[in-house]
Amino acid sequence: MSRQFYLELAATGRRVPIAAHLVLHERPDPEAILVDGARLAGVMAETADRFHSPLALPIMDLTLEKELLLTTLGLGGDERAKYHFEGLPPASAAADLRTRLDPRSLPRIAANLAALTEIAGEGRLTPIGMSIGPFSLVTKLMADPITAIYLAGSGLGPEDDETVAQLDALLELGELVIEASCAAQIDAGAKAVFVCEPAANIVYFSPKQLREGSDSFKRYVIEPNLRLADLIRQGGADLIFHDCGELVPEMISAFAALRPVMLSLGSSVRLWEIEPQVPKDVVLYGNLPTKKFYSDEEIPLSAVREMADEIAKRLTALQHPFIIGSECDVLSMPGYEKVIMEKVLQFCGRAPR
Amino acid sequence: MGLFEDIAENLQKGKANVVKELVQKAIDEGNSAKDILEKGLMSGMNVIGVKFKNNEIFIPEVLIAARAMNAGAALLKPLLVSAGVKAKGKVVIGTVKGDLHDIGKNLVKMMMEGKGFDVVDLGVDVSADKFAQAAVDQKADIVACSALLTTTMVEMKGVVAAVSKAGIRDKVTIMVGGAPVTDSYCKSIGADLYAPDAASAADAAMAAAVGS
Repeated sequence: MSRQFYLELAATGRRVPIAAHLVLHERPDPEAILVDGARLAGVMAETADRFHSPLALPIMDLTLEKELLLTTLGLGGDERAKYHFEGLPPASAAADLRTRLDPRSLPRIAANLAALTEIAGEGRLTPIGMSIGPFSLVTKLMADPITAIYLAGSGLGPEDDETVAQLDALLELGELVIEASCAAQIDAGAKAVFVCEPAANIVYFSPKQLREGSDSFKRYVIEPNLRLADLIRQGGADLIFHDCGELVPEMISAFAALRPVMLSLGSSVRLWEIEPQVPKDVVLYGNLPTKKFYSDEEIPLSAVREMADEIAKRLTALQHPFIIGSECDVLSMPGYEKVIMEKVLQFCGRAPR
Repeated sequence: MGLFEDIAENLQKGKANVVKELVQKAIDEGNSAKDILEKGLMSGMNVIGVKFKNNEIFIPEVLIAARAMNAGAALLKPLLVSAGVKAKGKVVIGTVKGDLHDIGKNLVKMMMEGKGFDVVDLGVDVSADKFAQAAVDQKADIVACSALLTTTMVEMKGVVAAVSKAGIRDKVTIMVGGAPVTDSYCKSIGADLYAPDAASAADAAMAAAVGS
C-alpha cells in the first residue's frame, strides 16, 4: 500500500470506527471466534462492511504480545495477564526468544493471522494488523514502571538502579516479541500495522521532567518505535500509530516524526489544535469520545454528530487530511450495546441495518 | 527551616532516604509520631496533592513523593500504634474484577494515606464478594472501586450489591472512579461518591469521614 491510499481514503470523507469488538460481541460465542481465523475474518469483514470502510481492522487486543512473550519463556503459569517480572529477566531470555519465538503458537495470534490471510486472499478489503507498542508492553511487564521511568529520566542508568536495568532489559525483550508479531502479520497479508502505544503519555512521563531536559520519552518510546516502523516498512506495510493517552504537544510531534500514514489519537486531544505538529501527508484519525458513548448524560446522541462535524469543519479549514473515527477501539459494554452502536452509527452517518 | 518543614520539603522532592533520615532524627529528638506524621509527612503530601490538582506536577512526581512518604511512615507506624493514634478512617480499595489497571487505584491510595487514612489495598481484578468480605473483615468506613475500562466498570454495580448483601451498606461509603466512570453512572448503580481524580477522591473521603 502507500501513503497515497490513506490520503485518498481521507479525501472520500469516510468515517471509520474501530468497532470489531462491538460486532464480535453481537455473536453468541465471541470467545470461540477469537480462536477461529475464518470466523474472525468474518467479523472483521462485517465490521468494515457495516460502516462502509475499506479497512478490515482487527480486535484491538493488547494482551497478546505479553502472553506470547511469557508463554515462550515459560513464565507466568495461569496468571500471565497479572504477571510482573521481579528483578531482571533471566540472562538467557533474549537468546531464548530469538530462537523459540513462534507467534502462531498462541491460538489467538494464529487466528488473527489466518483472518488476515483470508481477507488478503479475498482482495476486497485492506487487511490491517494490530500490535501493542514496545513501551506499552514493557509497562505491562513491571510492577512499578512509572518509578523506573522517572529514575531513568532523572539520569540514572542501569548500573545505578536495578529498576532502570529491569526497564532496559524488558524493553529489549518486548521489542523482539513485537517485531516477531508484526512480521508474522505482514507475512500473513497485513498491509499496515496499527501500533498502539496508549501508555506513552503523561501518566508515565512527567511533562515537568521532560521540560527539564529528560530524554526518557525519546529513549523508551520513540527510538523503539522508529526501529519498529523501519521493520514494518521494510516488510512492505505501512505504520498506523495510535495513542489514546493524555499527551503534551512535544509527544505528538515525536509521533509524527515516526512518519505513520495515519496518526490515531484519543479524545483528550483537539485534533485541530495539534494539527500544526503533524505533516499534511499524515492522515489524522479519530477522535470521538467513544469511551463515554455509554452515557447519555455525558454524550447525548445529538452531540455525537455535532462533535464529528466540528472536527471535520476545523480540519477541512486547515486543509489537513483526516478520517473521523473512534478515540480507541469501541468496546461492547454489557447492557449498553445498543446505545453505543447507535452513537457509532450516528457519527458514521449511516442508518442502522 | 524547621525539621518538620525539612521533612515536608524533601518528601516533595521524592528524596526517600533523606526523609527517612529526617524522620528518624525527629523521633530521636523526642517529637511525637503524630506530630511528625501530620506536620512533616502529611503536610508534604498535602502540597503534592494541591500541586497535582493544579497540574504543576504529574503522576510520576506524586509516586516518587509517596515513596518518600512510605519510607518515613514505616518508621512511625509502630510508634503511632503504641501511642493509640487513630487513622482518619479505614478504606478498602481495589480495581474491579476483570480489570488489571492499577495506576489510578494506587494514586488514590497514596493520596488517601497522605490524608491520614488507613488504606487496605486489595489489588487488581478484585471480585465484588472480595470487596464486601474485606469491608466486613477490616470494619471499613469506605470501599473504593476503580475501573479503567467500560467493559469492567459494570462490576461496580456488583460491589454495591455485595456490600448490601453483607449487611453493612449503611456503615460504608462506596466510592467509584476511573476514566470512563461518571457521576451519573455512580448514582445509577447506587454508589455514594464519584471522584474525577485521585486528589479529589482523597478530599471526598476526608469530607465523608468528617461528615460521619
